[in-house]
Amino acid sequence: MNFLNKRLKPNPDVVFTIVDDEAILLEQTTGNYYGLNRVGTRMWSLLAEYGQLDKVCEQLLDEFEVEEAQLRKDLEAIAAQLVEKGLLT
Amino acid sequence: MTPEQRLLLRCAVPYPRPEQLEEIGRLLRGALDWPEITAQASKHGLSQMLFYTIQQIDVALPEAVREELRQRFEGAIRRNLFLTGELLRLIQLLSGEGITAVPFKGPVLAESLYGSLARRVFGDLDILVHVEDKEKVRGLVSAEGYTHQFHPDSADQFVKPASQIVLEVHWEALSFGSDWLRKLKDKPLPATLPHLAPRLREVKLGGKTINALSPEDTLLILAMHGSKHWWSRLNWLADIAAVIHVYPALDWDWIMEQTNHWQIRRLVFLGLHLAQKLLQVALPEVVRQEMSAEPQLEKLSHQVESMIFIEQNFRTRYIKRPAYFRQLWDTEEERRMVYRDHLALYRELLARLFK
Repeated sequence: MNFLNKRLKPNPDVVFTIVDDEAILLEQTTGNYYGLNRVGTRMWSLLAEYGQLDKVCEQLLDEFEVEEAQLRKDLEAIAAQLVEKGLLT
Repeated sequence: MTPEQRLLLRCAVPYPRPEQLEEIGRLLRGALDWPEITAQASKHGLSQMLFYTIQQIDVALPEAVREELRQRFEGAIRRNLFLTGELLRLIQLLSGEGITAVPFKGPVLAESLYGSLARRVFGDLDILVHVEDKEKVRGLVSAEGYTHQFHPDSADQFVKPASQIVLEVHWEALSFGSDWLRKLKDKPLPATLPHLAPRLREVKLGGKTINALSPEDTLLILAMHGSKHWWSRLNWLADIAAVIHVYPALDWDWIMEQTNHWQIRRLVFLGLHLAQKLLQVALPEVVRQEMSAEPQLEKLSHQVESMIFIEQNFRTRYIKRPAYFRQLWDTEEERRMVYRDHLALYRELLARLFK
């Protein structure tokens, strides 16, 4: 599934905090905790601001030394997991 | 001071400088009584900061020790996230009913002073409301599964039995629980919502935006609170150091004005004095000058230091603490009133001993 052009927002039932550039998330309705790596954490914070993955992708390309195709693939994969777990809606 | 105590003091520095980290490294390479360190860290609310600071230093520790600290650290993050989620939910619920509820202490301090819910432990949830709203809040909070425990003169305490959450709904962010103080000052301490509301500002908490106390008000309340509890937990002092570090543009002139206006110079300055002395916090010139006009600070600070690492016992409870408490007030009249309270306490004690 292509998430790059879809509007994605953090689930309002999620609270999170960042420890050393890595986010720890709690989904309050299920009580499940999740950890995000550095790129995932940055993606999470930027999604809260922009609400769209392709804008997040543009910003991350400026911040990380990474191939655009690879980054898009990684973001798609992380987004798919977060959507599946109900962390992004 | 033992190496264990020195290590804890150094780990109470929220943003250690390189030379402070080096000192921690040297202490960690020496022989240490780890059960004593972890017990004291827990008592002083420093378990999170201890592990976080140690992780920044390249030193071999006993694996069991590191693992125990890591487990505590991670457990506390989960608990803190859970509590923060509940706090945000309650604030939203109250706001939906037209009630202003401002969180202070615990989660807000962790996130705004340390940048993460991971770095500071907290137990209770504390919110500040207008006194006129307290009945309505009681009803709403009870409907959420909270049981009303007791109500001192400045707050209601609730417990949610299912998850052991303790919620305190304050109409004064701070109280000394003494009628005489209330009468004497003819005004509450600067800790009510009508007084604090004009300076509220937005902060991020758990990913949401909420209203919180201004850094200046936070500093005043933290300092008074710490002095009230004779600075018996080092993390309260760490909070003072963190406010000063995180907000370099604090309006110190306004803070000094407030300490004069409310006659809370000793209560507030003691926290600053201890932060300077024990945590090596640099204070601006204007503050140091004002503090030098309060010679009692040195004595108060010695009294705190003599109690900070020892178990509370008869001597601290009935001799040291009252002596400390009598010196904490700016005016002679207040000090006389405290003395009178203490005489009553001693009379009661004697009556019980010779019954």
